Amino acid sequence: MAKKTALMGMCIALALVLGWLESLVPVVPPVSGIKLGLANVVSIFLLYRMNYKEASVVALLRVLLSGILFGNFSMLLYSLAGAFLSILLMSLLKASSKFSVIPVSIVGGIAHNLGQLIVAVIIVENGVLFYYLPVLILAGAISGALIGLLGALLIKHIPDNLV
Amino acid sequence: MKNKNNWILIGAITLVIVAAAVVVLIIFKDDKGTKAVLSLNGAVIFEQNLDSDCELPINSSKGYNIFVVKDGAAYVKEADCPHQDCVNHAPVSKKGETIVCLPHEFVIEIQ
Repeated sequence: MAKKTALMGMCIALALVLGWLESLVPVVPPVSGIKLGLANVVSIFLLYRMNYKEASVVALLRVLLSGILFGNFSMLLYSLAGAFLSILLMSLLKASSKFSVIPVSIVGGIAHNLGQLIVAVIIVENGVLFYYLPVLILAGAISGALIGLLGALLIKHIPDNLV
Repeated sequence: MKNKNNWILIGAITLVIVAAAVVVLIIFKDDKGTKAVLSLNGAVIFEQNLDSDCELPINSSKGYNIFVVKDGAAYVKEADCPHQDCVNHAPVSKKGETIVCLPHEFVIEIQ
């Protein structure tokens, strides 16, 4: 139990640092606001090497903490919705044991952007935001694929006795 | 078996992306817009004809955005929001195009 608690604390810290590192890299995508979501590697890894409970706790705490540390309240709402929908769909797909890591991660990436978009539409009360839907789905799929690739490598190569 | 499922899933995702893109392209046609409609938190506060240039500060409790129309296109010149996404957005002039400042709940929509 103590070992698990320590490990999860480490994972939250790692996810926070990954998210912070990513925020240092300036990106100029076609639609502002798109990013890779490096911190999600931690969620994918935990989802496969432990279980959905651990992955959800770490993902939601990470979002909460980075929202408190670096963001503001509305940013926190978007991130929470994205993280929640993403981890929910990935857990369901993983539980079905019908898909590999990368497709699961792709769905997670799309769900993340979708969750954020839905909250944005609710907060701004303007359905015109759905204009960004195709771009956001595509961006989510691409970043999800890259994160899935990285996650699959980690799941395969990090020794069992470490985790 | 897993391999087959994976490709079915990826195929379905591709279809969804294409379908969404087609729907959006149909709804937001590539037409030149006539006016910029500004809204704060979902409520329309101002409409500006794209034919006439203007520079207008939009103030709300959340902060300010300086809205500009120049040469038939609208953009945000300056704002005090944290990420400056609205300022970095390219000028908009076609029907359905938007510039959104999420922190200020400020939307510019071309109609």
